Amino acid sequence: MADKTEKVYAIIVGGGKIGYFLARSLINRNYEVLLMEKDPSSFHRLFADLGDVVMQGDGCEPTTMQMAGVERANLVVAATGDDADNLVICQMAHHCFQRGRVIARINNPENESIFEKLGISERVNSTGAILNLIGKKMERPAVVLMGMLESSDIEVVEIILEENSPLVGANLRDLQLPHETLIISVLRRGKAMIPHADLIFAVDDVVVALIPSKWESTLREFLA
Amino acid sequence: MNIIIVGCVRGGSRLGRRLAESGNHVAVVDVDRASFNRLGPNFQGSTYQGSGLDQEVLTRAGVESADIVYAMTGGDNRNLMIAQLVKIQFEVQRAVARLHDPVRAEKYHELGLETICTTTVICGLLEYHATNGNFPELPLNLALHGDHSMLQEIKKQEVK
Repeated sequence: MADKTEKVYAIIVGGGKIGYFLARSLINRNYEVLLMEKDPSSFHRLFADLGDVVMQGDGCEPTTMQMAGVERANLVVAATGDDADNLVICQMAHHCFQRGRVIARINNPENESIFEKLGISERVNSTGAILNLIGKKMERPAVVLMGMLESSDIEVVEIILEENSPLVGANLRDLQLPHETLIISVLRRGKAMIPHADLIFAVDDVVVALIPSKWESTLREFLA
Repeated sequence: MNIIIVGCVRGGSRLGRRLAESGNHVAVVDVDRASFNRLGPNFQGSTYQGSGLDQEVLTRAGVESADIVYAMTGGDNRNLMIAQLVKIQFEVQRAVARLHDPVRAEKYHELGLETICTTTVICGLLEYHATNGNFPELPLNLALHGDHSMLQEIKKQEVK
């Protein structure tokens, strides 16, 4: 019983892909969740999947939000695909019910500054975030996974040195590599070398290294 | 006065036409180019196709030198966002949001936004009618029963 009353209560407005997956993820994390969807046919689809967690209604309407229990909600997330709707959902929740924790999804990155100026301090720019991630993928990857050492979590990775790489011009002896990174070979103009301490890295060198999986992201950050 | 009207369906087009006739510099914005036909053949203002939430479209329509913006789209939330956007981002002195929902209209009015609510205005008049058997005398030429002068204007154009 005590456990039940301590649950964090989150109201998510908008049952599109983001609202739906957010609801599922919060349910799995033991939140008390209410997912509000305006459109009747979307509501029925969501209801068949998630059941009582879903409510049909317009999150801009204070009476609807009251029925949803906004007064005891710890968190309101405006997750619709329409920025004007998200803005008004946040403003109404804030001004009618003084809900402090209100998070807005922003679909058009251009609207970020207006939301900020209007005092919506917690924003997730979904389109911008996705564009950033895709942009990262499209860059020539700094670290390419070649394979794993058998029965281990140690990766063999290839690092291609571009002009702006922090490795270029550096001496292997002085190099402060991330934890547990071991350089095993350097391919230069098609020839493999066993690296020695005095080696100075050059553009277009392909560095082959061993690294435990868990440090791979650190290596990427180091090379970025 | 430099006036921008966003939304060119019935309300927006009528307001645009009449404000231009009375000598204002009017720019009308709508996503649908065909909606500008509602302004009639004699409209002297300018039209801009695009979303009223798009800052580039608003800039093209001259928002930086606008004295007042009327947000007249079909969506209450869009009108509320447009009115706040032009005031905050472009420092337009006055912006009015036309709204259907009385609750939102009053709430945003409390927050300092100029709002006009179609529902409360119309219902107020109808309530008066129910009590008194007729509509009240209104101080302005509000064309309470409608206006089809637009139709005659188009007919005249055809005769020419």
